[in-house]
Amino acid sequence: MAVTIDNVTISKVCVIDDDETSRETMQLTVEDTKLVPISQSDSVFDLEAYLSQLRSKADAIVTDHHLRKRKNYFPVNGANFVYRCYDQKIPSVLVTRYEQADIDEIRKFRNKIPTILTPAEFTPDSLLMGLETCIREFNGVLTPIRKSWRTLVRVDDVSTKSNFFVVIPAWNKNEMISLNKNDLPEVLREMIKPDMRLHANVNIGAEHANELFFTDWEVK
Amino acid sequence: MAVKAGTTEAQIRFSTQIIRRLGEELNPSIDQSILELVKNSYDADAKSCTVELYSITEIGGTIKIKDDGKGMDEGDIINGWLVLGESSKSNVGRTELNRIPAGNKGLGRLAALRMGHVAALESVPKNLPEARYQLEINWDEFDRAKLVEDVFLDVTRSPTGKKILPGTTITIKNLKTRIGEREAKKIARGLILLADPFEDDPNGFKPILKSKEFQDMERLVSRRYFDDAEYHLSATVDNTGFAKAAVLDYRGQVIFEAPHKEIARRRNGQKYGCPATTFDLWVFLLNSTSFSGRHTSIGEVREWLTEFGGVHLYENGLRVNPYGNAGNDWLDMNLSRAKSPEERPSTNTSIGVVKVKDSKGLLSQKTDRSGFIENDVFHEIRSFCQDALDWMAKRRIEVAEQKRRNTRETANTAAGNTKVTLQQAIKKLSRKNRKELEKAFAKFEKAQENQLTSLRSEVQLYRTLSTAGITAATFSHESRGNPLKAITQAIKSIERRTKEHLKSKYEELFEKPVQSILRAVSSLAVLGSATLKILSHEKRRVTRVEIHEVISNVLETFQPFTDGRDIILKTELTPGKPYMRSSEAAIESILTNLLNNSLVALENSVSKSREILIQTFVEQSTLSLTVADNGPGIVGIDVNDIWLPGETTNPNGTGLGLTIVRDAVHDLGGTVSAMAHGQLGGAEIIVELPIIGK
Repeated sequence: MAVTIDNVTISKVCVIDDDETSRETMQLTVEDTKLVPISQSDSVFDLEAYLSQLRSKADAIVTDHHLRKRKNYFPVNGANFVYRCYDQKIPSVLVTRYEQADIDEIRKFRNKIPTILTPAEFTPDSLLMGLETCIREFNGVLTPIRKSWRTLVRVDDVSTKSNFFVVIPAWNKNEMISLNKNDLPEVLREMIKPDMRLHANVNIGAEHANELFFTDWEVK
Repeated sequence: MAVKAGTTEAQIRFSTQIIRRLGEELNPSIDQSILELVKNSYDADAKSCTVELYSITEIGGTIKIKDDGKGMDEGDIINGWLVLGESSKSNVGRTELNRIPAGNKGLGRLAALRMGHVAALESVPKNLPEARYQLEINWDEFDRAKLVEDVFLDVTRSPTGKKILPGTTITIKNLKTRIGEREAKKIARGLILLADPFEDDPNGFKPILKSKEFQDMERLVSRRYFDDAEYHLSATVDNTGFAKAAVLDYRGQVIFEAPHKEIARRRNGQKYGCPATTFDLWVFLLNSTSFSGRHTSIGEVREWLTEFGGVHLYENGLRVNPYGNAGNDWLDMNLSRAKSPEERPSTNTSIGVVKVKDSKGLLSQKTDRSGFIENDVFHEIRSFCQDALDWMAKRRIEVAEQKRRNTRETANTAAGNTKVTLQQAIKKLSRKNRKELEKAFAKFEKAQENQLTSLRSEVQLYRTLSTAGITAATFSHESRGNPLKAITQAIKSIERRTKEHLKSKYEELFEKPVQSILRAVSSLAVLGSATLKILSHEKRRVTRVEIHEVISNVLETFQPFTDGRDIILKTELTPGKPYMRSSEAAIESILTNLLNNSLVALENSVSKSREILIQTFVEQSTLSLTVADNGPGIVGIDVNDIWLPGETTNPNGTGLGLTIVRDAVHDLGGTVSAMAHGQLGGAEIIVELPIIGK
């Protein structure tokens, strides 16, 4: 009950979801992948402590994004958790319906979330592919849609309270992307205004706006 | 003394005074003079041209114009740049970048160069990038000399030592006049508008002025509030003189469109004698109702229109002054609006761009750059634009008139009648008739009260509906979440496991039920999406709505339910795409409620087959939408009472569906009626809606 991808052996997969039934059904898919599901049924209070002992418990993670509907189940949402696992080189797959509100919330972590699957897409094959993408990224191999480039980002509209809209001419000059103002460094948050030109690292090979991520913002 | 026959060679010579007159008198304004130099850069295939102003607020300042064009060698300078009065349009086809040269006669350049006491030219040609050519003209020398030919100029060549980027820099030194803030702003505006800034073409020609005014204006121009326009007129004449036009809404959907004969009706369908021309006009309704709920404020759009509004004319990619300037109304839009204010844009509420592709040089600009010589071709362009505007106004007036008619017909309220009674009583005012007046007042008050009560109960009704809607949306959201996720995952796992363990037995025993569950889950997901889709903000915005498209979307949503209930959905839609100006949500709520009613009615049906029929039919400008079923019909309730809130024969129903249908139809200026037993034997509801096209 194990697979080896690029010399990394994965046997145990920790399944995280605050809904018990959903967790159990996600475990079924992990079992069908011929891997061993480890159900995270207990609440997690201390994220750092949890991360530090995660390696001894599981080789990979599958998690829902919404983990906070059940009281005190998990200290952060799934996207944030996958982001943290990336730094520890623990392959992780985020499973979520990916609606607009989720997209806004997930985007700031997206650069360290190699794979997001919808529940309908979550199958043994896609799970293995997702884990493989993670491991390859840990080894520095990025697919064209995940590779980021320094590019110009034009602010188009800042009139809503929480979001602002930008255009990335190098990606698609006709599509406006909605971003959360909180995703910007604090110093820029108050500065942005329509038509301002910013620079950021953006994965301009992304096929869909949902996949775009932005890092290292600066004004030039 | 005898005179000996003979000949002496002579020639006309020019006084240096002519230089001053030609340049300064023909091209009077500073901004236009600078634009002439910038146009030279365009002709030289420059991608950018930077204008820098130094110490211009005082006499003696400097202007520098630098481009990255193909540059000039000594031949170009001597035989081109220094030759005045020759138009390059007549002898040059296209530039290497396929631009049609702006082709000035050198007079504008002369005026610009003479703004200072000294004009210096420095150029690195593309064909010899190791050489720099320089020339300096000291105008004071001309002023001292008697004839133009008496002044000699030197073109010097110096090696650059290495290949450098080609381009030309012109420096006008020691300016004779100061350039104030107003002129600087005019220069900025002229440069911004020169190369159609609304196009956002990264490869286009980009003139830049290094000044604060320019930055502010560039920021303003780039806001491009076109999406906030209520209408967009898009008209074209092709190179054979045939026109067509369309009016689009903010989403780019066509509301009206017309072929050549409709546009050119005033001229009996005669072709337009002008080169290929496009005319785009964005019309804004600058009132708080139109802007409520938008990200943009009226103030922002107004500021933008004040600076850039009007209809600008571009010939071969470059703007021609003064069309579209403040106060220039070359299409007489304001005059037409004054004559007939309804549904006509003014230069303050619209922005337009006319683009003419004049490769044959049919249009020619006046030497003093005050627009085109008004020849037949120019008149034809203007006539085309005005015809397109007339056509749009006519169509908009028709729609407004129709709305008004419908409002008049439905505005017969109790309060209105009582007011008339009161007015009549006041006419008879006297002591004697006081009682009568008091009676009338009492009546009026009662009617007011009744109206208020009715409004309050309607508000209550819609609050109830909103709550129901919000609850449905929450449940949809939730059910699309964990429960559906769990079912999908579980059944897919069952499918994989049974396939693996039972092999061929899987197909025999499990395939059908597994597939049924997967289908049912997908139907449930559709239901969840449908509920959430109804709440989409976009659907509530008033725009062009194609009724058949809405019908088709609603039926697609309903299909899982009708399939599950063995109901046959039949559609008989009239050919074409009838459309109206409405919100998608309004049409959707009419049809959704009618279908819901039929679904419920058919639950009580014992007939062999269950059928719902949706028909559309268009007569003149009215669309009939019929929803009929073969259920038991309207029984146990008077047909006239079915529209009242809370009236229902279904114990689980709210009695609100048909009230919503009635209100939504009335809001759209339509009518609705019902037959207890229609063409299929069951209830039949007929909705009539005013459309604006089919």
